[in-house]
Amino acid sequence: MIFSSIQYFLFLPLAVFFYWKTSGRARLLVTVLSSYIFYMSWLPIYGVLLLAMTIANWLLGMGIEKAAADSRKKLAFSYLLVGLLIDVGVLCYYKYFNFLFENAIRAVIGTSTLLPQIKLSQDFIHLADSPFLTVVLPLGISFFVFEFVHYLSDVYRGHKAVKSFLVFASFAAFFPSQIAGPIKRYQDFVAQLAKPEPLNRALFYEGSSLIMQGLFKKVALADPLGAIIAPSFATMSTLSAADAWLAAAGFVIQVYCDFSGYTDMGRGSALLMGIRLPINFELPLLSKDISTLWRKWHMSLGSWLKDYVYITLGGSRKGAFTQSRNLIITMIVCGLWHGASWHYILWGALQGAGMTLHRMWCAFLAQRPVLNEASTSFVGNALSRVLTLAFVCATFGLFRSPDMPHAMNLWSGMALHWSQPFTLLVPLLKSGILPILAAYFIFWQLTEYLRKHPTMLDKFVKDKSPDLFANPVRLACWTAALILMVASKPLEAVPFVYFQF
Amino acid sequence: MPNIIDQQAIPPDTASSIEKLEALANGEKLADGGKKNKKPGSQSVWRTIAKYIVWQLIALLVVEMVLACAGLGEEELFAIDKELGMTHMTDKSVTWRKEGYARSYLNWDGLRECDVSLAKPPGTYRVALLGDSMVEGLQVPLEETFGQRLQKELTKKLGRPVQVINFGTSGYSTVQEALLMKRKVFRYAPDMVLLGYDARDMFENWSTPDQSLANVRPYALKLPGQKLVIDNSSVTTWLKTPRAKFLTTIGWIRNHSRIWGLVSAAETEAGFHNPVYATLIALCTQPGKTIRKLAVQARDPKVWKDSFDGLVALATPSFKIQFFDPPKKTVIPDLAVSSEVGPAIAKEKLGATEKPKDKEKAKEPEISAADAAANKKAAGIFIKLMKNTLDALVLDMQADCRKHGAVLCVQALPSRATLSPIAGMDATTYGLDYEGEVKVLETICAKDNVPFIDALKPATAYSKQDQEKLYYSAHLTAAGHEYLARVLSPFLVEQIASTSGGH
Repeated sequence: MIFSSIQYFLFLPLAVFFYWKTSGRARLLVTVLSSYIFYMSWLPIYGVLLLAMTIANWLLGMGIEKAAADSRKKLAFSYLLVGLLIDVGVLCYYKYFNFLFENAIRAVIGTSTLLPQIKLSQDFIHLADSPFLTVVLPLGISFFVFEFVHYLSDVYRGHKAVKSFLVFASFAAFFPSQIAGPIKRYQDFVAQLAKPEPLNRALFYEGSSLIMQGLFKKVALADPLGAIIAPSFATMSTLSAADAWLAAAGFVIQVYCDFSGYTDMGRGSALLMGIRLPINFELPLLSKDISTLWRKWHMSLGSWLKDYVYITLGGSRKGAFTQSRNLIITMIVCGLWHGASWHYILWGALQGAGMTLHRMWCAFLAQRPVLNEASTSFVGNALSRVLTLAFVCATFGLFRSPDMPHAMNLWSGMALHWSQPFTLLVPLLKSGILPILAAYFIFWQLTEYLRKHPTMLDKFVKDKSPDLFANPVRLACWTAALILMVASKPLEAVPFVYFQF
Repeated sequence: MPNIIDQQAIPPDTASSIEKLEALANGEKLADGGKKNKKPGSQSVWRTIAKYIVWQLIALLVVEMVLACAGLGEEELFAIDKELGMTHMTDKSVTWRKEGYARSYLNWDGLRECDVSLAKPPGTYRVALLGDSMVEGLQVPLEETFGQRLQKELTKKLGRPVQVINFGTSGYSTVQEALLMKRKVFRYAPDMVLLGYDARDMFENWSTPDQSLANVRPYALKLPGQKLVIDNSSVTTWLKTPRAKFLTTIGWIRNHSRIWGLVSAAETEAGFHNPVYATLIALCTQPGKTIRKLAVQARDPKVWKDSFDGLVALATPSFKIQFFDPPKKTVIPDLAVSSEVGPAIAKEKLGATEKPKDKEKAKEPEISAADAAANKKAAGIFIKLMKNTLDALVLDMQADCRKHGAVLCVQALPSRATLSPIAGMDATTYGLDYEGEVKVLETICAKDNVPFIDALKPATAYSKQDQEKLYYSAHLTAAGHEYLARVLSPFLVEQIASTSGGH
């Protein structure tokens, strides 16, 4: 069941109805049950995995708290270690085992070529050719594992453990954020679950508008763009520079619309249950530099990595070199979190290197006031944005490519083949996506302006009271969004990009 | 009574209650107050409704503008015509996205060639093309159609201006082409009319109308020893159906709204026999009758069971993890909506349709030898009738052309059904394949002394791969149009030279 499916739009009202028709433990039970139904609709067996991990982390959290209360720090640390081993172990088993196994075999093969006295059997050599484990990656495992790690670490750091199993199970399985985040913080979530915002008309409008916005981003923008660029990432034939840049830029917009669309739908669904999930995106693609972009892109993962990797490594406390090292390591972890492949690792390293370069550039500018002033001028700002976007396109092209050879093919197209024809132009025009994208951008700019500034249009467009007949503008926008979704959606439903992580 | 309560701080309901209390305190009768309040209240409801309607209209207008820029929803191109069944709309943007991609504009007379005037420029040789969607060529930009290619090439070869005007219309049968020629083509004073014959045209001269406007045609029949009959009663009868009335009523919307274009494309995709869609249309056109019918149906428990099963099937999770690359398609792409070029479709179609065919075969009742012989005999009689009708139509068109100082030529179009058939395409009609139809046509043209060219034949010598390059799923690609222009060019040069004084 995905957020943009008919099944979900049958499921959500039922879940919300029973959620508000119950209270106390019954409501918690509804939350847990609906979340497990949502999760198990994909592959029922992995509901058992989620449940087992939930039980283990709940018990370990209480164990850590009790040991800390008894001043048995070593025991608390042992519990934490066991918890981390279980969580990261499960993640590694499903996500990284084949990668580690394959690379270990290749390392042995590589070593054996240097030592002629060692002769490896053909059976052993073939082990590297196909995956050792043929398991399906459980949906959202990277997200809920990170939430468990955060929970255990925070309890170890002195935060209160969750006593109620149903509350903890709700935190672990909450369906609006289950598959692709945002990565929640349990303190915030548990407090809201205990006292959710009452579902009034204002909250209903806010939630359903977010759902509609997310659905529009997914169906009207991300899916058609994905269909246009897919062939460029699947081919090893020569790509023209125009095709390669369009494919890379198209993917950046696709992944933004897809992921932020998913988050909008998740946040909107949670709002219908009176819970505010954290914001995950703050217009990252309009950022002036790569560091700002990463502060605004997938913010819940960024803050998790900052709290549990970057700061754990020492952050910026031990000088510029250590800070750069920590940045690169953190971003490599970010890359690895997305998938077990060398191109993800390289992608992460490049993001880290980009952020380090930007930090060095800022330090360089700080000593040169004239240059610093020029960099903040209109031209300087525009140049910064263009360079940032070019860097993001080039590196996200690597992220999207299925492997390194395909990424190299894309990069060679971007850099070398400027005289080749622009073959993606016809599919791009045929899809009609550009005017829809432009219309959405204008709409968004307009609504943001109207929201923030008093204008003479206020009495026509703004809500005075959350009355059922008070917001015809909103309904009109929904009508327009629905028609444009029908107009531009590809024939087949496409799952959200971040489901695989 | 002094107002000591801050009105801003209290909710509207409380505020209105206070107003009522103040009214009572001022000695007004509650009934009067009620009357006083009722009028503004109902006014405000109407104002609210009006506000909703206005905003909905604004939204629809904005969407229309975005769709116009995007070229989406511009596939509706047929206007209802009492005589012909349907014709091209006029002053209409058409963007073809199902196969290939082309943005076109149909001018005041429904032609893609916007620069063509009724009056023929002096010294110009005019060729009028007649045919169905293969001639129409909406799948490729105008300049890539075989008509425009021929115009350039003939002008170059003959050393005089040659103008090729394309009157091709999707779904047209020979009888519709004959009627269009009488009504529209001769107004342009062509020197030559080139009639394009496509697969099954012969049989479409006698076809039953269905829900699709493209299949509403007048019929023609030539019975032995009698005159050719062309009759549009099938069209006028169809015009009385609820669907025709519905389409007529929304004629302006069909012509101008791209949102309707999306609906129209969706109904083509879903099929007119989709029960939900059919019911919706029936509810719009015959609400009373449909509601009564639904009420009767609702008494049948089987209907409820089927609906419940459908809902369960809909709610059953169908999600399959896909990640980045699209999954291998298992759904057969609809010929009418697919944008794939030949080979991919052909392969999928073959694989996907083999099984159902086997199943169908297993279900097919056995026919006795006597019945089979009777069927064969009936088919033979029918084909003979259709041949005679086609012959009569060609003769009629030739006579008309002569009357208007034009020469009629006939081309057999390179049909995909013969060159690169897709599984599921009917290879034969009443036992006659397209090559058989072409032979019939050739014989008729030879008998009637009508210049004829078989544009199918040269392509049969092509390799399979080259043949597939000529087509999208059903219509000609730019390469296909280029092939057709190449084949037709020497034939037309010869015909023009022989009929216009040896240029």
